[in-house]
Amino acid sequence: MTSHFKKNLCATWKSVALCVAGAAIALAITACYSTPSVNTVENANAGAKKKLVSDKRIYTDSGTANIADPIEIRTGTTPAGTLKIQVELMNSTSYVGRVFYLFEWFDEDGMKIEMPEVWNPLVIPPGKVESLTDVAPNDRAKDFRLSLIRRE
Amino acid sequence: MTKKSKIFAVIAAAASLAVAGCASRQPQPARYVDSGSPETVVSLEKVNVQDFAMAAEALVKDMLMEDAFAETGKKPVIALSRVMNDTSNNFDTALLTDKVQEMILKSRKATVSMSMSVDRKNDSVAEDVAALGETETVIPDMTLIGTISEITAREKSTRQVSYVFKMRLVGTRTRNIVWMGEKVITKQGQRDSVGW
Repeated sequence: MTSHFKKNLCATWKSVALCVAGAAIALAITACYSTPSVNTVENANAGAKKKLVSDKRIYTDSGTANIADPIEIRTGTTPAGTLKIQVELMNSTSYVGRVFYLFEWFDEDGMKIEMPEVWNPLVIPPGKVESLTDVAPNDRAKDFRLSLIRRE
Repeated sequence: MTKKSKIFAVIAAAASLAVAGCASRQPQPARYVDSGSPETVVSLEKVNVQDFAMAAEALVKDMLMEDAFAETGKKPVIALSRVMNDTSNNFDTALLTDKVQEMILKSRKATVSMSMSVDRKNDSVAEDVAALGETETVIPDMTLIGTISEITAREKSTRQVSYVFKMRLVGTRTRNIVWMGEKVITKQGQRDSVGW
């Protein structure tokens, strides 16, 4: 091996070692500063009698589905008999999920009930299941639709 | 890479940057946006139109959820008494109260009256009816009162403002608080922005 070749080989190995060390340090820093996710504890034999709703989903954005995935939809009524809905959304990513949501309500003919509407912001920490509850605007409401959009 | 290629690459990169810079300095043409959509401007130093909508929706939905109108056992008459603006912004509280009254009316759980102080001075209906020689004042079963207040915070260049919308439903004769609710809207950032 010529001395010139040996020098080049040493320089190359030094560069590789520096890169690996840099990557390791970067990973360590990332691990220190990564967003902590949420652990949960709940009753394994839940006593509540849930009225679950089977749903139809239309996913056009996988990013939104990852940070706010509907895992359960429950239905109930207020003491006055008005329909109410509760949707559980799970953020299965390792970063904070920011979405907007909108509930729309429909009468028994499937016609949308026109009410003042506004998209509401929602923040879901990583690993957390967040509950969204909404009540029908009046007794004509028989059905609902929940829309979710990810915040840029 | 030849010398010529390098020069071309540098010129192309510089040209792209220049075009991007020029494009960002071009004023955005005006367009219509839905006032309840995520495309509206978010301001750090004022209450935005979507903030009033969010607060009204949350407060009325809480009233419906808690069955606040069932206290009297019949469809109650509700009137707006006073909503105080305790923020540093100058705005008309009707931006909140009109939405609240509209949502209560459309819920069909209560009747909304204009007989209390806030609406009475603008009550052209009462004036017209009085002019016909017939007057009848119905004392409402419950009144809505509220406040809008502001809490600010700052961390270096990041500003945070929270607008607290509070309302109470009070029995007119009993003076009992039948329902109370609060909606806090917190905004944080270094500058106003378009889109949430």
